[in-house]
Amino acid sequence: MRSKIVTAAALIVVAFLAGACATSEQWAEWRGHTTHFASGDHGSFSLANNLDGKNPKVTRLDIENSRTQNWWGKNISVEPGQVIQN
Amino acid sequence: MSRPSVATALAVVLVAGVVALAYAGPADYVMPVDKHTSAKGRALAVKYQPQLLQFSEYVYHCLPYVEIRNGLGFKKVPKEPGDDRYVAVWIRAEQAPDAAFAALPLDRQASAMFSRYAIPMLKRLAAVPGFASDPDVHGFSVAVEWIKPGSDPNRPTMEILAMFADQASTRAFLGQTLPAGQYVEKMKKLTFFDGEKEVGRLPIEVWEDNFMATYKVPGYEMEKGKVCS
Repeated sequence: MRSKIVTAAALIVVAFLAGACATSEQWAEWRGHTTHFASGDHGSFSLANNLDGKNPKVTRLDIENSRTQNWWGKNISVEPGQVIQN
Repeated sequence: MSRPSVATALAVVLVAGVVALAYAGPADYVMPVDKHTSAKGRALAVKYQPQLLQFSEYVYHCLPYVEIRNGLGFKKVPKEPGDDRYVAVWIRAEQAPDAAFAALPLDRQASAMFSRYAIPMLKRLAAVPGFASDPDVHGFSVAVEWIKPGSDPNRPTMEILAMFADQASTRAFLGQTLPAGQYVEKMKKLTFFDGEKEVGRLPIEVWEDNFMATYKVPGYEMEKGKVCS
């Protein structure tokens, strides 16, 4: 039980320190989207790419995740049936 | 089996199920047979299932900046009498905002998207074995959608250009025996949607654009064993 409390406390400290290191631009981004990462996969992808976009590694799964989980927002469009009929 | 083992096994099955649901693969972009609204459509969907899957795999692995929307299948012109079936692909072109593109008049934007994305899709569809000699495949349909320049990035407006053309004129155009202007005129339907409504036909021009043949997403690592040709 004691070890669980220590682990939880450590995680909270790490989360706080990580938050404290964010740049103003990153905070603005966060405020704009309410959550910094829409999903765990989005978070993993961003972290793997060092947040700055240098030497990116993009797999098809990253792309699929971004679409499936709809990282940011919905769109405005006509009904598919107006364009084409099944 | 002990109770913890059963619980672990159930958890594994549950997680596997969730993962399978979350990640769409090439097969998920092919419209299910039963979604076709006529016997003719369903028969074509069954007959050409391997070819459609192969087409979807090509887009999935080789054109990662393009997403098939609303299912690859055999579709028809909305509200059109009869049951002429067009092998149809609807794609979303994912591209970063571009000031030069945004500055173009609407018909030039649509022409650029048509030339860049629709023509290569038409070429690929026309090359699928079997379609050329199949009288039930009336023609080809390609719809391209993209984010309207300047629209709200948090709720973007999707503009769509959709075309339907018969096999003969499409093959004549691709074989360079029918000029692009005449091909566009002969299309059964060529229409633009602004996100809220159908605007109608735009004066579309077609020009050479080798973007899809040459562009590589920076850092994109293709799945092992996959080859693009």
